[in-house]
Amino acid sequence: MLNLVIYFLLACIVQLSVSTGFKLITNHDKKVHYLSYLLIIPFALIMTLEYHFKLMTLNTLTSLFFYFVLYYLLYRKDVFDIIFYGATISIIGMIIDILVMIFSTLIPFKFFSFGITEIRFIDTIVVETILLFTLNSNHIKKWSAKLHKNMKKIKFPYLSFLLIMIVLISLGFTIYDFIQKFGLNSLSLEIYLLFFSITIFLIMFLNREYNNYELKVTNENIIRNNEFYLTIINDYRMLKHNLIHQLNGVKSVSNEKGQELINDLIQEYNQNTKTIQNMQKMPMGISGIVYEKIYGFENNELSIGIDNNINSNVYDELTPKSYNLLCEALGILLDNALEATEKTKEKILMIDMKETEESYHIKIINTFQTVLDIDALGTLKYTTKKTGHGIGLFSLIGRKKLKIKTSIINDLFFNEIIIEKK
Amino acid sequence: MSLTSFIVVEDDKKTQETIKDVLRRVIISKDNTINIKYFTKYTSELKTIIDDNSTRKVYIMDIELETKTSGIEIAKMIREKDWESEIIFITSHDKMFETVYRSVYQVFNFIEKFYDMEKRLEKDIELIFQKNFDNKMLCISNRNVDLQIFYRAITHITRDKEERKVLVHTDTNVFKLNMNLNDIVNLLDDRFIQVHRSCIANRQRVHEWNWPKNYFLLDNGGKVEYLSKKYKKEVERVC
Repeated sequence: MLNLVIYFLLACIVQLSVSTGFKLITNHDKKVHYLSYLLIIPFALIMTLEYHFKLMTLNTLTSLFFYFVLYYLLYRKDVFDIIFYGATISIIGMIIDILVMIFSTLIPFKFFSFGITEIRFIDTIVVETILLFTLNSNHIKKWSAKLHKNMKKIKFPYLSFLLIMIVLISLGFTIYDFIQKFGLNSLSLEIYLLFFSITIFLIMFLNREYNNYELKVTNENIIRNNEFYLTIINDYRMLKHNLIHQLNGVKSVSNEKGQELINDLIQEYNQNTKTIQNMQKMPMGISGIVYEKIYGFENNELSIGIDNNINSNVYDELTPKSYNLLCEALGILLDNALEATEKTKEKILMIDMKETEESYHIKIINTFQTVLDIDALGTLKYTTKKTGHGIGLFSLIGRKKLKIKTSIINDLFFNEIIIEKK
Repeated sequence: MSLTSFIVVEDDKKTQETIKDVLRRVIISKDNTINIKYFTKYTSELKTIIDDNSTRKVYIMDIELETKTSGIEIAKMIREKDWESEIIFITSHDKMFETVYRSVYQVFNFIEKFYDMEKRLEKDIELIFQKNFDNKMLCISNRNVDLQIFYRAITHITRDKEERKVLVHTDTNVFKLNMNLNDIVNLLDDRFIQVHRSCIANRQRVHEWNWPKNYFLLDNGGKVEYLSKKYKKEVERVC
């Protein structure tokens, strides 16, 4: 019985120590109510029961699980932070534990007439004290913050794949442990279940990878089309330039009627100069989409302004999925903007682009003339178009990694696409 | 907003001197308490001035500054929060996108450096003083959208009985809002006056009141058939 009480106490101390360690390593400065630490008691009780029934593998798994739950409930960090710092604390704790164990073999405990319980008690206190000092050191904090930043760049599917495989393999060990202790006849069922879950997970993972591959191929086609459009634009400019020069040459030797005809022709050829010159200012990976949309609306009355402050290659900086999402959002918002300008007296379209370290910001600004229900805007089926369905803008709301900020200032509609970089 | 200050951002010394002369002539003769600040580029002090919404400002800026942040970029920063201040651009820039910037960033005027700059700048400043910074706005936000409309752009506000919504009419658009007339009155200034149980009019935009036939005409030629004799006394008192 005394053994169990000591185990319970040690479980409480360890949980208190790791949760304090988490606070230190993450520099968490918000206050945590002391009553929240009472959560430790039920967790320690469960761990003691497992110890009592000698379910040691399960005990290791549940204690790890409880640490993570405790970190989340006490500090409310995001899942990645919990997993990263939780794993860091566990690894550092394990290393200290091993070192203390090696060191303790040098101490002749039998001279002090210490039993195994006393040794375990002393060991735990020493390990946890060293752990807290280690986690509070500036070197460890800096190192872990740097690693945390680098780890965040790893693609989530691979990290989750690794984590789920670790969980499944650990589960396999736990089942094995159960079977050894209780000799259950359900051995085959457990193994089948485990095998089944690993297979399902692998299929899902491979399917996701395949979809990503497909998306990548689609995006590469879009990029190729973009480049193709730009080549055509350049060829077109060159052709027009030469043609106008030649027409001017002919004009100089023509009579009055001929000159008038040539002037009309030159004016006609110059109609979409603005758009074409604007396209040269667009960042790589966006110009084709914008040009495709605007070309269809080629209208002499439409004033187009493009302000580009993006210098990086959009395609390289976004994941295939995000790039695809950006193309979709740009397409929908440009369609909406161009259609809205059609009805206005002053037809204005402005595309303002900038980037930060974390994201791209593309603002589409247009004039509009309509009856607009402010509270229904952006909801399913709301539309100002006679033939439209309103699903466009609604479909973009709530997408991961993409935000749409909408504002109306006088007779101008501002839609800002904010998309996170890799 | 109170007070007025003039902010000049120009990196060409000669042009800055010319602007200084114009400001001395026009402003100081009117009100010598007006504060004038000169910058050659975007600085932290200029950022503080932009962020400070307690004063009304007139920005006179060169578009092509020889630094990373151009006049257009500064205008964008101003318009992130402040639509009441006026912006005048001094430029030698190609005028291709003038229409777009003028509308999108509410630029008061683009003045060419090498074409009658002094006279045009003087005229613009006079106009701004005459206009008396009438850039107050109706601001409404909900989950999906932020709406800001200049008071001067609102012609009248009516109530839709069927949908139980308020309709804000401007020269070009109508905005439906989930509010009642009493709520919206609190967001407006005294140029707006109730003229019917279901209508508030911007009296500065009304061209003619026709009490016998119960309608009023707007300065843009529009006719609004919401006018009740019940409000005649009050309307005549303030108009």
